[in-house]
Amino acid sequence: MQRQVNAVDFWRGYALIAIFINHIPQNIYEQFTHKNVSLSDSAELFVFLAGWSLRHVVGKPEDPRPTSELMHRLFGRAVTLYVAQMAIALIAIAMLAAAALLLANPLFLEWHNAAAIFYDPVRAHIGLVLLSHQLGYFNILPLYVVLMMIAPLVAMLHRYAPSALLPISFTIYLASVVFAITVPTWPVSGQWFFNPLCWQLIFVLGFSMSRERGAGGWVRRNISWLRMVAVPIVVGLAVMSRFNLWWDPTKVPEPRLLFLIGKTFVTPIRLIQFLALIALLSAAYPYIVRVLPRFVDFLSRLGRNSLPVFCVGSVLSLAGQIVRFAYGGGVVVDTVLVGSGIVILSVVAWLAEWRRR
Amino acid sequence: MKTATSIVGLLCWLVAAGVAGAQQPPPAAGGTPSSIQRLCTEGTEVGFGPAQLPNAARALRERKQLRVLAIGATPLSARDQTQGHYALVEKVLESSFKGLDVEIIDRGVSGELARDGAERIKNEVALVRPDVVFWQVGVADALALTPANELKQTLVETVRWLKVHQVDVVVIGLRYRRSLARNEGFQNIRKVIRDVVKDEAILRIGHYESIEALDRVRRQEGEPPSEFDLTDAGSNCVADFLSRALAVGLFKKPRGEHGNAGVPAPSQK
Repeated sequence: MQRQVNAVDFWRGYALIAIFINHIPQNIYEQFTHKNVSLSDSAELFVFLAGWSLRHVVGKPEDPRPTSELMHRLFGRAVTLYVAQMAIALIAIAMLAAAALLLANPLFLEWHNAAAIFYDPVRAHIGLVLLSHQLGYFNILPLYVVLMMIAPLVAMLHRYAPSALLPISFTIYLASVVFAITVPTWPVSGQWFFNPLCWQLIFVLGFSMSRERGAGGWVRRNISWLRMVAVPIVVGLAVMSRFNLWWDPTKVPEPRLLFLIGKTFVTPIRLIQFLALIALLSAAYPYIVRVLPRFVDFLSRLGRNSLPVFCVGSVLSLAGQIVRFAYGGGVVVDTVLVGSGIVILSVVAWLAEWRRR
Repeated sequence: MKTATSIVGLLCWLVAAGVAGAQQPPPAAGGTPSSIQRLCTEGTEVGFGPAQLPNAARALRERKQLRVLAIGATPLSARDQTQGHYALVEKVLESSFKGLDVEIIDRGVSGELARDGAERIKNEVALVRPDVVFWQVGVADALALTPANELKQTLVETVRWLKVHQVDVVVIGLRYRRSLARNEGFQNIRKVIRDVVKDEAILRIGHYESIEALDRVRRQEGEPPSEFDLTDAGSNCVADFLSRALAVGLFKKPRGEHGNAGVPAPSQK
């Protein structure tokens, strides 16, 4: 049965649209997404809401899903995500190769970390399958796969030692930030753009906040004053972000990552800003649904079908980048690209629901 | 005395390589490994800009160690497969200068625009504390149609920030593409990078010019290489060009001074 329109699906739909737009860099609509006035962007929102959605799988506290069924569903979801990642990566590689041939431009073969695929295929294909080689802008889903792989552990911890879940997650995050522990990439030396050791905290926070007990219950009881605290954090950091009023990163004390602003490690300042933003967004939803019900319905449909929409959006954003290069940017091209992309995404969401009927 | 001998020897080697490259037509791109190797070692113009690398030179003098931060897409070619691109640069530099320890920390994100790379550079400098940054920049901006003035502002601000923080920069700019030789956007990006390199007196790897010269000569000879051959030749030589440009930057005499730039005496093997 189709879920009722709700805040989680609505914001996830928004995150999907924002990711699609942001992944066509330099298009004119990029400047209207919230990343321009926010330290965090749609990636945090997407991962947080993925954690939140875990509640539907785990079940209610008074009626928990049997453990074996839970494990089966979560691992199954991880496999589905993995297959989706393989499919869109393969399509992206073919698109880059086709663009290189059609436009007689070998630059496309080196774009978005594709060089290894074309010039070092033996090792790169192994890396692709192991998720240790990721294409640029196609690196959120590998994180999601890892998060879904650890989801059974999260669910079990929550079931049998609920008070230990957040401390364990936070300890892993802190250790990773303090000691700059990353997950390496291969065969191209580097590190995962989204460090799963850090991003797992956002996922766990999303799950914990979704629960009526524990941290989630505490947040619900204290949401009024939390929102009051959130306002100056979000506004202050937006001003600093807009006017680049940041401190010198080489002058901060050790361990430096604690005081830097970075996406890979989702550093503490970025994390705090994101949580403050979430507190405010949760207040905004009732007003939005009242004023713009059709808009909420539209985004919620995208959010309900996040995987197909995300996959098609990833491919469309790469197509948009190629088309922009071939035909030039500007208001008309960007409007056609973004507009037609959003229409296609809505059709994908509609088809996904139509299939389930 | 030994230092002077080493420097003179190094300069002689560089000059000889340059002269040899200038006198001989570039070898075929996409040809035999030996012909590519010749292009890599004999390419005439690998380093551009009146640049020195004072901070890298100081590191060499005081620690005999060079710490390099690599930002931007990692150039890759068939030749690099066993070790990786920057491993090859490390190897070339370390084998050229006795006692030199080079560590390259690769923090490249392929497809990243200069504006995003510029943000990350500051954090990575704080974390890695490099003596020099290899910044591969321009390709993603050319493909994303970044306005030239926006790119220029980003480059100037970042280079100046790095200078203030006593970190040298080596820019690895665009590579030659025949199909883009008359592409206005691509050439604008190239011009911006060249202008910034000139104005800020930093080092740029001139592989665009080397491959362009190769293409020109081969076409004059009636044997134009394909775009993909040129790409392969360019990729194969980046490590060599980078190593040689770095050597030039490290041991270049400062303007208005005599003697070397205070560089220690890594005797050339």
